[in-house]
Amino acid sequence: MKGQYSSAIILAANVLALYMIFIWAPPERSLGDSYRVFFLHTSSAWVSYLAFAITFISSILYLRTGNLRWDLYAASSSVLGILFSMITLITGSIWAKLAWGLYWNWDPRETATLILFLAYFGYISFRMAISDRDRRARISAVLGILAFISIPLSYFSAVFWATLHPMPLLPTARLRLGVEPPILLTLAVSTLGATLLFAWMFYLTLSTYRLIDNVEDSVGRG
Amino acid sequence: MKAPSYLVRLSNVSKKYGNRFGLRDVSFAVEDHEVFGLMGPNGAGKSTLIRILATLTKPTNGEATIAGYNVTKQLHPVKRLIGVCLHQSLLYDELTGMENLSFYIRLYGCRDKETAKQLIVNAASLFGIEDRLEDPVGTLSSGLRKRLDIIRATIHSPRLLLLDEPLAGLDLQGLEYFKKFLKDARKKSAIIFSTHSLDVAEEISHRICTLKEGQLAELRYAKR
Amino acid sequence: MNQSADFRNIADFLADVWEILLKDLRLELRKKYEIYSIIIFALLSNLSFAFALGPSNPNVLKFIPAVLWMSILFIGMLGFTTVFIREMDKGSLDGLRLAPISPQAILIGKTLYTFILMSVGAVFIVPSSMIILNYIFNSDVLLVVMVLILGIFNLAIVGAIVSALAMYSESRALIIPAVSLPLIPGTLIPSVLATGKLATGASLEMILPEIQLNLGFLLLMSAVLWVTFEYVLYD
Repeated sequence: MKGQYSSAIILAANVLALYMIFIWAPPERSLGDSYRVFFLHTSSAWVSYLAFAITFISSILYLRTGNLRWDLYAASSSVLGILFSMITLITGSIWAKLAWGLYWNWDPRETATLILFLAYFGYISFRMAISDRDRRARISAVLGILAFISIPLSYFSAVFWATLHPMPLLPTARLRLGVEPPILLTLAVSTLGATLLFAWMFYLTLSTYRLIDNVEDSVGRG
Repeated sequence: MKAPSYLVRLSNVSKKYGNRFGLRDVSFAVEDHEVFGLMGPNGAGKSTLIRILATLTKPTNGEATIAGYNVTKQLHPVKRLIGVCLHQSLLYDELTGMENLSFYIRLYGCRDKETAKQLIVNAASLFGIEDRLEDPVGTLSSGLRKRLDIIRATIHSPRLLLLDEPLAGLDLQGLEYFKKFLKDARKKSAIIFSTHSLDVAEEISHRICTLKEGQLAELRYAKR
Repeated sequence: MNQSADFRNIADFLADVWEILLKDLRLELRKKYEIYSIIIFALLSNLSFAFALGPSNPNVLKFIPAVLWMSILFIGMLGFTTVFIREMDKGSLDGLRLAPISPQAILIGKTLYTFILMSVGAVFIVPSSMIILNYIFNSDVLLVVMVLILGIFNLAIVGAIVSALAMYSESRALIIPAVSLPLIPGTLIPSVLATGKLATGASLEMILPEIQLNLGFLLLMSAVLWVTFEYVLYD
């Protein structure tokens, strides 16, 4: 069955990524081994944005077609998105403490990720508060679109804010994560691993939601 | 024999809620100036049907047209042609009858203040409430509120009146008013209304349609 | 759906917006649901901030924009509920849905209504902040007013759409803040920054970037809402 092969591939990719992150990649010049959290952070960040893009596009497609499967995609993606954005924020704080001496410094990208997390949070709690399936799909689709466009708006505001209020940086701060091939390669592999992981979890979440819908249908609710 | 031109046409209209059918394959047609009664037990789909024709809900399947306009695709022209009264009064309690009716009449296109006022006063006197027009709607009895609501629904001279349980809560005097109103309204509009009272339906309708569990169970002429 | 604004009739469209706005204002003046709570909240928040910051606080200038916009935001949250939720709960929403008007006209009318409510609050908050916290804007009054108007209008847009979304949900008291939260920073940050600059004396060129950010927010949000609002209004 195809499922077993893909699970094996995903598992292999992630094991490889973990190996590369923690063992293979060389220690960084100024931070030594503690910089490795960066790989986890960046790959989660990529996935969390990917997930919301999926929610955004699925929302648009639901409004245009009325087909409920787009709503299922949007919902499944959002649940994973909140998970990955939480990971991004936590690893991001660790990374920020390491690189800049502060757990949080309102860096525009950090801020945008926070807004992304809040967007997921708002979207998911909103979905939980509507029981009618079609209505929930339609209304949260609009929210999905609105929340998505708020993120670049917040990002640009935060960029501007940062130029006005530069955060005090410790001397060891401004580290340049080199473009050395091993680091780039590790980054690429960990991003790939995270994306594959997301795809697999997406499939699982989607199947679960489909199952829930089917059960509700046969029981006569919804 | 000339085929009658139908004002309202429903073809295989269905409405699903999850897996449950609120309406299932309902088809019928209503002519101009016809009084069409909808009967059936609670949950049979009468309100759903009226809401679909009122453009407030979309059917899951099938098509409904009013004067040739599709109720889901050509909302603007349909809305101009219909007047709707639902269970819930659509009037604002804190505003007076005059303020409420002016608001709605202007949304329906009559922007001239004097014309609007005249139309409202005329309609109110027909219903016997012209002396209560300056009272907040919340202070009126439910019977008077109902009459105001009907004025709201008919003031733009719609071709089709959709009334969801208009007899609910009416006393004998109210009922007489309503029958008189229907006799007048029939001259200008077709009327589709839902009710539980078979007697009244037989008395005032041309045809009666009975729904059962979302499906059309019976369609016949009234025995008058 | 074929329900959008008919551009042959811009006059009708604007007249519809006006009718909706007038109706809501009339309702509010009649019952005064929100106005009293807004005014009281404005004064209360000012006093609270004054106590928290302490008299003749040397850092007061830094806090002014935050205090101001926080108060405005909170009165917005107070007022956001009534905009659409009241219509749904009282049953009059169907009346708006049945009327042969564009859904966008309804949204714009409601947004203007929210804007006016919040502006009434701002009219109390701004001068009383200045008195209680002992500062004066060092810039052109017109600039201050412009920044306030643009910022409050953007918040009103968020408020109106959040209210329209939330009317379909349960737990509105929780949903409204949860849903507004990600939508607000895009306009709140530029408003706060611009106000901060104006408090220490700034010219139009100096706050131009913030104005542009807020205008960008206004345009982008309006464009998206123009297209999607009918899906929110109609079932």
